[in-house]
Amino acid sequence: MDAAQLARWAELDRRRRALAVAWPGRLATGFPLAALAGLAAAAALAWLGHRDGAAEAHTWWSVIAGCATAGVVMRAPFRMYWRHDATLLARLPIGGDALYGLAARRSLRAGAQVALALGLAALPVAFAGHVDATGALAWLRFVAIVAGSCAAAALLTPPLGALAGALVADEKLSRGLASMAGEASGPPLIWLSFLPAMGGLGAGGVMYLSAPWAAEGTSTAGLTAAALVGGALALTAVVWLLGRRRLAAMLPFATREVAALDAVKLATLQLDTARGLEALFGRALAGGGVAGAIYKKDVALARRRHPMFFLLAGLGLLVLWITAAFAGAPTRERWSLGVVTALALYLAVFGRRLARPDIEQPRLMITLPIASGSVTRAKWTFVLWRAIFIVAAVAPCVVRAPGPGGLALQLGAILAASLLVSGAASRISRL
Amino acid sequence: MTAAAAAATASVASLLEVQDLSVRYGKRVALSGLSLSIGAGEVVGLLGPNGAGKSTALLAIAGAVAPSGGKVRVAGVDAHAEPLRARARVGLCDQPPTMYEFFTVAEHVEFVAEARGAPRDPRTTTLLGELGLDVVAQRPIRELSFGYRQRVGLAAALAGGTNVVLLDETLNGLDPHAARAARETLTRAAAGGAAILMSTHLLAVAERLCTRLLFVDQGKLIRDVGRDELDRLLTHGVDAVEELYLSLVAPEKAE
Repeated sequence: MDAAQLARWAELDRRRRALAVAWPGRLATGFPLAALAGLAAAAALAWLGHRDGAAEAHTWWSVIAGCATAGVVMRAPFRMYWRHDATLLARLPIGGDALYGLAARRSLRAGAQVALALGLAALPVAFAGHVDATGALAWLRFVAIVAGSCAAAALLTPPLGALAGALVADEKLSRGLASMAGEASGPPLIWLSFLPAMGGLGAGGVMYLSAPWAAEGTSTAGLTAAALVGGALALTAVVWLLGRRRLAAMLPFATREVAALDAVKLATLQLDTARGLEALFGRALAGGGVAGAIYKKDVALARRRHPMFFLLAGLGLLVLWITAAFAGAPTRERWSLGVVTALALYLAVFGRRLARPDIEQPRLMITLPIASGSVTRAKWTFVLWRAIFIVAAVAPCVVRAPGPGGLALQLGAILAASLLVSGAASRISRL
Repeated sequence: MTAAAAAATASVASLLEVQDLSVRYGKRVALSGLSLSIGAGEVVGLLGPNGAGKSTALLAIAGAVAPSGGKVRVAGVDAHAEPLRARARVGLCDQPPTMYEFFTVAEHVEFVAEARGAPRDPRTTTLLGELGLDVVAQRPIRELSFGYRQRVGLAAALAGGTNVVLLDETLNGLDPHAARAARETLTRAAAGGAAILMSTHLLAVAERLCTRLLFVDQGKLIRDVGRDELDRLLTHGVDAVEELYLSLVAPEKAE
């Protein structure tokens, strides 16, 4: 089966799945969701620009754009391995070229969706209250850096995902790297979070650092943007030209191994349960009963499959503590708001995972004599434990802010909104 | 005929050759040095208690799990050296069958056949009819009952003219009509030159359908019973295979 044949079948599956969702739920997937998110962000940025000025709106657009672009790369394993069809594809005689091509198509689609949302969100920032040719030119600059950064991010996803999968699959190599990392080493699956996270940070960084040109249009900023976006695209092109064949050749093996890890092997391995502060927190909030047991199960399964949060929170903590120590206002406050928003968004999205396989089995849960209150308590405990990481990361910036109360209020509102979304999303329907 | 040519001929005549196959999950040994050989036309039953390593053996032979040791040759193709060529000749129906839930039955089976290099194969339509799937061919798999899903899994395992068919408890949960249709389809596939290895706990099905029975326990092959011996055993009574099973597998390990 070649890449075109596989793409045709994958597209049929995607369309069938999309059509199975009833209106208006269909609006919450794919391009309609991207358009809605873009319009919502545009409305929020228009309001922010009106209240605090165009520069503030632009800063926020840059933060949102950086995070969204990073997400294109960070979701690599979900497009290549942690999918409903990965096990089946891994068991059939499908070559690496076809799998690699499919990963590229899916990534380009995700990149296009993010580009659409960011392009729409940039409208009020570019036109900044007056619609004229200067605004149109500014918007075209936004579109140019969005298109370049999202294309680089999307094209970087398949090689990074293939490499991460190969590292997971190659036990010998994985053991070698783990021994080099010593105490800091984690389970082999960490590569599926670590490499896309690093790639995502790079892609998000390119977008964030190129953004000043879109607003200012100066030649100096233009040169920086051209160097960054052009450099990212050139690097991606080099990776594709030199590494595509070798990385594609690894993909059937990597897909098979990651799918087997998920479907067969991990079921038989000892899982890491909650320990230390994580266990203490669980005992304090969820107690030792049914809610405590659900919390422990969630912690163990989330750690196995989704270690990305710890990477991002660790990085956020490092960035914010350095910012608190060395940066002045308003940079410190901007970074605080930016990093906390990014982590809070991740936490909000994570809530949904707490109610679905492989962390939760809703069909099993509804057959067990468990009160919905116990499940809710367990899920909230989990979400609150994760929120503590965000609070710890941003606390030094708040303490050093000229008006700590105001900043704490803004950050608290962001975190509370994320907790509400996450808590609501973690609810198991019909329980 | 040279020695190499003779070896190659013998290798193809024996469609599935497994030597010292081992699988470890972390520190746990799931399969330990399994060796077996199955020729064209054979229907071999894999019997053993839960956790004996039957499913792991089937997954490792199909290439769905990487073995920690040993060799698998499918129709003369080394599954380690040429995994894609080997996989094109093997059909696995695991438990639960891995399928595209949103495809119709016909689409899913056609997809699998195309992946094995046999697009628009007229045998696919015949297969659906034989298994009684023609009436649900245009229905999405996610709407089907357990028994129908088992049949779709069996059809997908056979689609594309596979040489080696591996079935993990596939005949469980079928109604009598569907069970008979499945047995007849498997018998026809074997008569057409396929080698079939099926794990099952349905001893009556194994007695009726299989030409050989392999007993597995604690990841090891403990007994290979050919059809002649099986027929001899059956002259002693209808529960002969069950008695043999219980005598081979320690009571505390049995279900």
